[in-house]
Amino acid sequence: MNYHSGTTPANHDQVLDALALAVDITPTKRQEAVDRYKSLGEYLDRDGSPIKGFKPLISPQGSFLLDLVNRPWNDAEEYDLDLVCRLTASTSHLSQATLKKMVAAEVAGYAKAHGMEEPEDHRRCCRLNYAESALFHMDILPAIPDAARYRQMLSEGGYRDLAGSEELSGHAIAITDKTHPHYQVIAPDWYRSNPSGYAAWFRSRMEVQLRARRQLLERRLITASVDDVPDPQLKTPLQRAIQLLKRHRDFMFRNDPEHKPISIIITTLAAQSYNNEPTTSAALEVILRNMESHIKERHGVRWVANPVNPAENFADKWAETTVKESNFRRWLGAAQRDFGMYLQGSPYRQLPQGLLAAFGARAVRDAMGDQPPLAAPAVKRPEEQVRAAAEVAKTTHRPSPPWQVE
Amino acid sequence: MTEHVEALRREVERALAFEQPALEVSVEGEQVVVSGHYFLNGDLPSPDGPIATYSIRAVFDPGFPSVEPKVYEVAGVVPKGRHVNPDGSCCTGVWEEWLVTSTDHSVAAYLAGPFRDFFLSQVHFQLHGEWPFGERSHGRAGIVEGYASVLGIPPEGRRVSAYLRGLSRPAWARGRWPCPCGSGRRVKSCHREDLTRLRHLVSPDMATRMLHRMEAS
Repeated sequence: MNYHSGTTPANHDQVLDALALAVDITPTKRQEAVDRYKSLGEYLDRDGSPIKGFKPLISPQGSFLLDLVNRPWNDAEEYDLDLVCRLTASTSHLSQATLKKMVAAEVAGYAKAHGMEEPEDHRRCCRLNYAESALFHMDILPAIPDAARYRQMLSEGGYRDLAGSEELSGHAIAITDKTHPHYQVIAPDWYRSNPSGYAAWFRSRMEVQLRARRQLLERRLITASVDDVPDPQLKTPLQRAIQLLKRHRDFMFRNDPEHKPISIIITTLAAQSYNNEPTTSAALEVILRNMESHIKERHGVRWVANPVNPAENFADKWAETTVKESNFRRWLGAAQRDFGMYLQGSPYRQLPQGLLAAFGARAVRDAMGDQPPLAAPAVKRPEEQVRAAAEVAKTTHRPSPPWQVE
Repeated sequence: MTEHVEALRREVERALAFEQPALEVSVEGEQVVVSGHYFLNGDLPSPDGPIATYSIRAVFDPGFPSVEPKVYEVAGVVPKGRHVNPDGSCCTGVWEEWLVTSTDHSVAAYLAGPFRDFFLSQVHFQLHGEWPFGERSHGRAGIVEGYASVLGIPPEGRRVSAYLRGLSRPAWARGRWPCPCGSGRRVKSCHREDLTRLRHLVSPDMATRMLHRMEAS
């Protein structure tokens, strides 16, 4: 099966887009995930639920919310679906332990009612494991709305613009964490998080491309030609580029997943580098060239700021575990080389070894369609290209005529 | 390795990252060496891959950009006589011409400028039989042509020397010396405006450097 809308790719971008689609979560699996968290949400909000009064609301966070979910790099790995379970309550009326207990009890009830094993209790979340064949687990993070305190913290830190934005800080939450010193008592100083603010920021970084895609979708809806097959055109080049980079990382660190560069760092630096380039190749180029320049330093500490809470450092583990920073830089070098080798040094049908290995035979076959492997370099007709390049050089700078000593 | 060499190595690496994935950067003694395959690409992506690939070795002295890098095409596909110096290095142009006319002297600007222009010229000549950016005569005459082009005057050695001597004077502003155009008048009542403009382009140090190079060749 060929993933590129039934046509054979004819240039680098079409191959990259087809590869991005080949590593993307399948539509069936995506729908299954949505059905599952909705089903859990309905259970928590059912009549007779002890927490119904708190208006429980389940919503995705992380890569599901950003539409950046890759299939696991090998078929034995599970999809990891991160959810927030928000209860309308206040930190001045209940402790983190109480909230966690209430949510965990209900999640356990859901598991029992559906014949699933008992949920695992983690530091911050409850993990609900589905049957092995489903290749799913859900991490459910108990939370309560806490925008006022979040905004106050931003204001005090000097980030008034962020504090004033409904989108970027109006949906911040307070979350449970068993390692918090006041976990057992009623206290206002919960750890905070802001997944929907981050998602709003992420969308804002690709706004032009999102708008173009929405228009495309609207036109299709009018002509009623939408079916279940995901259209790669509806994902922005930024999203596709990040999914390709994440797959490259997953393969590189398949034997050391604990110290691999984390997705939130790759996603943040990529989105900061992106300027609404219209193609995946242009997005990859601008990201791979510039992402390093967005790693800052504060008081001698490497800093990848959370764009919706700049006092939070996504790279806070780098100082204590230096291998995390060196792995990030090693990965960036490899990604620059592998994607550069394809986009700068190869004909479109010749994937360099580094990418062939990272994406694997299945994805490459899916992306390339039924074309036979490239045996010899394509016949090139560079005459016009060279003439055009020389003309462009004359307009961009003053080219040096060659000379020689004697 | 001195801090300066390390900084130059990092600058070269950054300039090549993604863009030239088949070039390796290393340090030999005090010099930063780039070697491997150089991909010459057009301005728009081509499904066929690079226009041409050259095996190269480029040596950056810590004195860059004042000191011109040495570039070698190591597979021997650029024949002698097509702007290759007697020591086998590629002649990417008259160096001072780039120093004076370009405002960006970073490694990246050099690679996108004289370095790429040289290989683009070579392919262009191979395919079309002409040098797209012209070419300079060999030896001293080429240096004179390059400098004359910067100064905007005819390529005559004596005239170019006279201009450069004028521009190398630290106290030139009063203009009480003979105009380098050869009119016999003083600068202040002749090409004063032109020279004032050139002065912004060619500093006294640069003019002295150019004069020395002309005299030595």
